[in-house]
Amino acid sequence: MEPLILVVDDEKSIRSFLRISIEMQGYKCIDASDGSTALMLAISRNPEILILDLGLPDIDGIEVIKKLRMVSQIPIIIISARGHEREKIEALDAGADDYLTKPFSVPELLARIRVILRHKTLQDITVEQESQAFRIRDLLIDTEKHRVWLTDQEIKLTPNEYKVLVLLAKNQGKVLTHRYIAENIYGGMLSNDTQSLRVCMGNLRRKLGEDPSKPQYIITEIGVGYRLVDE
Amino acid sequence: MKIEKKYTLDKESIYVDHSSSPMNKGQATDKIIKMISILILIMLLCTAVSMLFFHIRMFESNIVMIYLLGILSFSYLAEGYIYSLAASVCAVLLYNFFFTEPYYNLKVNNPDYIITFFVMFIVGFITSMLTIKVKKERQQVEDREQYISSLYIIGKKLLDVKNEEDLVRISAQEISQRFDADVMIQLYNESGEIIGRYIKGEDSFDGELDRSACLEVYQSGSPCGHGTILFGEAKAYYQPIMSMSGVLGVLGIALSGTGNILHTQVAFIEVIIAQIVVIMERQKLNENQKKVQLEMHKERLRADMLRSISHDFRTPLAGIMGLASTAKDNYDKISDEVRKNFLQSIYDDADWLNELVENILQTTRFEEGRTKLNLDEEAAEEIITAAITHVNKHAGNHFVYAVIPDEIILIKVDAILIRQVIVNLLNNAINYSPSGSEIVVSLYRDGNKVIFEVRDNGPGILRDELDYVFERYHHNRTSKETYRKGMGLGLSLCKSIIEAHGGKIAVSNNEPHGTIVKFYIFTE
Repeated sequence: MEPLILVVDDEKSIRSFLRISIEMQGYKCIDASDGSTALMLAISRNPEILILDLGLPDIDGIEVIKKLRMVSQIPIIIISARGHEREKIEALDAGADDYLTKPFSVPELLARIRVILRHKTLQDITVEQESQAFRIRDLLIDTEKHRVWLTDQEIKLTPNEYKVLVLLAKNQGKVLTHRYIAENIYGGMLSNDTQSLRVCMGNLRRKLGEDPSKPQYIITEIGVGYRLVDE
Repeated sequence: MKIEKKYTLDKESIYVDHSSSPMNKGQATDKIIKMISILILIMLLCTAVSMLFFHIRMFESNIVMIYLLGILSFSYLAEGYIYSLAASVCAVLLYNFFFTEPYYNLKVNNPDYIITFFVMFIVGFITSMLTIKVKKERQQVEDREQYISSLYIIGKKLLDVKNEEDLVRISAQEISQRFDADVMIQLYNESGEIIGRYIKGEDSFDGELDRSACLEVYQSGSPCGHGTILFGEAKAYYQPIMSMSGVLGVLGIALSGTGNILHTQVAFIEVIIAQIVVIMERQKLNENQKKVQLEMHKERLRADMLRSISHDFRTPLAGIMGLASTAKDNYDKISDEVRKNFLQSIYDDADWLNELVENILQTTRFEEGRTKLNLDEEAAEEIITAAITHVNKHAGNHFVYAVIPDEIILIKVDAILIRQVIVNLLNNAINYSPSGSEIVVSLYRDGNKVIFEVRDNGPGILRDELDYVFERYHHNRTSKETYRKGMGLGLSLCKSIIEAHGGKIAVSNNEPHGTIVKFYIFTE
């Protein structure tokens, strides 16, 4: 059965072109123009993905995420206006899975949808056993041996660099906020130590041989966090 | 005339610093003893000289003259009517005792001598009084001169003050030096906040009573404190700093010793207060004038901005409307290929409009002072990468590279704004250089500066234009074709953002052709 996608936006033209684009990909699409209808549909129709605009007329988008997270683990892609970085971070920390900035390109949105759907299927298959290795392009991470290879050449990472890489790999394609990463790597105490995280990421990028104008693995979402490239 | 008289009257108390503090009893007794010994010495000397004259049988009147000289010199030294009276009496008695028959006796045989004594006494007394008066008058003139010159010096010093702090500091120091007193000056603005304050001798003003007195002066506008009816127990005397519009501040003065402030001292302080008021009013006027100028400047900028925005909007809008209407009206006549091209152009124009709106939003936020820098420790290279990723979507056939150092450079900036700067610079480079051009963003450190550089090998900017590119609503006029891509707003926004970060931005030409825009931000 085709996956069902719920689109929530108060702008009619945006809803209509999103609906057309999504249906053209072979998914089913329902839409809502306000937060309460969105909550109702999300619970009653149980869609695979929720695409949520944060600026809604009735309920604040972040409230919608919080309410929804109490009852459901449905993946949420948020859409926010440019310049509202705090709002984005808040939404991601509240449990949203990904974000796009308005105006966004449709291919970009469809790519994010595909990533989420693929991860969902993967999760369903390997729900019992933890994945042993990640392969992203020329990068291979062996979580059992704690070793990392880049085009069959082993690269030496510090424990923190390795932890960050594995964390990003486990959430491949998903934006992880600075706070989320820092909490997972340094523990709660040092979660605001953004400086050491920046340095750690810088070293990791150098070891992965990233081209600063066209990163192959780690995508920097400035002011928000990092994401590991997908597909 | 009146004022002068007042000063003359109170001269003793104000002109000389030492006289402003009253002498105590011990000092007075010391002076009397000293004067009596001087009197005895002078009279002994006179008698000795007279004895000599007497023995060589000199003319008797010379002896009288010697005594008169003694009276005169003593009066000059002693400066007091009582002293000159005493000296005159002494001299007459000595003359009588030693040099009139019968000798060594106060009796007088010849009644003519009575007249001599009387005249001698009168002459001695009157001339000595005149001497004292002359001396005192000279002293007065000197003191007045000193008074005027010190007012002049204070006035001159106050002319140079730049702000309220300087004003209160200089006036307080001068008054304090003059009266050997602790001084406090406090200035307020319209809403009653303290805008300038200087205190010399903290202890003299810190009591509860003194604070109340100070407040009372500010509220009522009349002096109070030490030596007055209101708050007479306070340590200091407080005088308001008044202008036509009300109380601008309070001046407190606490004399050393326990003496009350004298009328003349108040008069002196009032002269200084008048100067303080003049300076404050002058400053207020200046500020108002500046405000008006700034407002006018802003108004003009706003008008310019509206004009420029309308222009910048109209061009892509005209494109969108034209393309859409052509495609709609001739839908069946044009090929799929052309339709696709039309749609792509519409998309590009809309994308351009979007970029424009972003810049306008940021610019207005900056102008209204609403943009608070959201500073965070960021890796400079991440900002560059984010900017390049952003423009790569519409970079077309331009090649955008980044050159970053091995070192990870951390800077405390608002990453979103700095990215906007680099995006604007890259968009400029893309718009003004032909397809296939190379655009290089480099990052390096020079001392405590972190330098970002965007370099292209396009046609560059005309030499005459280089100085104006950062002016708002400036359009590069290298060629007519690219005119529509006006980025005046973008570059002026870049400048505002970099300057808000304490950095600088500059543009120069690349060799053999092209443009280099460099900006730096300081690391801590």
